Amino acid sequence: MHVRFRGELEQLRSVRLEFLPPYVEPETALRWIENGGRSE
Amino acid sequence: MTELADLGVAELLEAYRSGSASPVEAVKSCLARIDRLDDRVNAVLTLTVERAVDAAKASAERWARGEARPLEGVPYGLKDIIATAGIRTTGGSAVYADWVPGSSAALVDRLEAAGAALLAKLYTFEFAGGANATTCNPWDLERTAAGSSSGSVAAVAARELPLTIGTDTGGSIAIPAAFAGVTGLKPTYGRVPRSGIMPLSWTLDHAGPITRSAEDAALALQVIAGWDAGDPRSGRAEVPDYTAGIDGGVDGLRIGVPTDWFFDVCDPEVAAATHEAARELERAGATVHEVALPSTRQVQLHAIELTLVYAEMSSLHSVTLDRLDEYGPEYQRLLARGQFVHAADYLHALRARHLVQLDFERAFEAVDAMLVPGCVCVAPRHDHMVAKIGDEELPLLDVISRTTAVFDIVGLPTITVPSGLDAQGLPMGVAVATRPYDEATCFRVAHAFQRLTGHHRQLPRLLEEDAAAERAPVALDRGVVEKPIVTATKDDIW
Repeated sequence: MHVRFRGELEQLRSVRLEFLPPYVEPETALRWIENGGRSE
Repeated sequence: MTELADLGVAELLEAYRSGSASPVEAVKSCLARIDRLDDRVNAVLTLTVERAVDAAKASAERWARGEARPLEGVPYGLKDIIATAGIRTTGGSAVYADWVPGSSAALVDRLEAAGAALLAKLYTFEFAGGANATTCNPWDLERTAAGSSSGSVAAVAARELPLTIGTDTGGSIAIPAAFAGVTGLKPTYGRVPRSGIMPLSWTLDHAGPITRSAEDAALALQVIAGWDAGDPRSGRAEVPDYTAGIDGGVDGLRIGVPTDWFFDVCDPEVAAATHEAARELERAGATVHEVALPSTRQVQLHAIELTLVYAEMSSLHSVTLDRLDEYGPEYQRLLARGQFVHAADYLHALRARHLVQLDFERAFEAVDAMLVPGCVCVAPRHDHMVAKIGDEELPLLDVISRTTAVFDIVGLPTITVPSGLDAQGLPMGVAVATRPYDEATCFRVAHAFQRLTGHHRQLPRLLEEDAAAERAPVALDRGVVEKPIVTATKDDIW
């Protein structure tokens, strides 16, 4: 990846994404959209 | 004097309905405007004159028989990454310079079935991601029309066409719409099928209409929205009547204005115009609320956008990497970056996306729509491609998609409309965002705003000059007219 992008990439890498509950992408994001932006 | 090329979609349909104009006259009027202005604007890559005239003649007969379809006789144009059967579809690239598809994109079939008349294929950044130094902003020909839907937006701004279709992956409808003072709709992810459209990033790609008003965009979305088997990400939600509630006004609507991210890096005049838009809606009966979206500052949205785009475009173009020298320099750079995206980073970007979605879900519990700057700055000059944020100049590509890419990432619909002119007389934009599949509220808010302000009716000086220009006869016996693709040089950003 290009040098200018390195800081942003490192920040993205540092975002904490939990192990549980398990979810699978992109399906979770697509289901959220199909459900009108609601998790339940 | 108002010419037919000056009319929007709804106005044209009304003129046909009343018998005061015919589709053939409208096509001729658009063609005449293209003849007079497009040598300077450079929105049009391919003219399909014979096809448009034949379609317009057939439309005139349908109107006469009382069998008009929803867009009967409306001239339109397509970003040239959208496949058209029998008509060259270049992707704005030398790699596909001579490609003539055997079938059309699903949305083209829908537009044709609704009676619209294709008059032009329009300049685009190479494969919607590279560069295009060709198209100029009708508000100031020394300035960029941005992109990647450059021609689609410039053609509407120059009143060459009342309706075009563009695509948006990180802001390619919203940003040029803001720069050129037109209305651009980025629908919900999956609302409009991408079947037959050259992809940039299947996770983020959207297609939508560019028009002069929210009402026109609603009429167009009505036709192109809906499930299609050719796009596995196409949504199955029912398509509502988008114009049914468009006159409902904003009385009682809850409008949110984010307190973070969207205004962190934003030209003060653009920010002020966005807040003034909120006050305008408040005076019309809406309530305005501050909303917080903390994840937008935390997850590094630009990194999500670039990681997904670089990886997916690199995969998509692996089949023609042996022809790398035929790509423009900017696209070559992007493809090179794609070779170094780690799989773990790509998957992390996909997972982080849902965190932002959940933030929007919480925010939309308190509001019905959000207002954000359409783009953080106004159109820069071709020879000085920077984002001017107050007195500061920032690298354009570092900040240009700050208020737009987030909506491609989360999949929410936005409509970008003019919010007035800055001190230099350049258009600024404001965007209305709503929950997934709630384009109807986008249209309702934007339509109310346009009726209240009339910003969308302001015209570039180019059109004032055109009003005084000599009117030459319009030649209709031109068949298809193909202009060459101009790949940007190494020094061009856009």
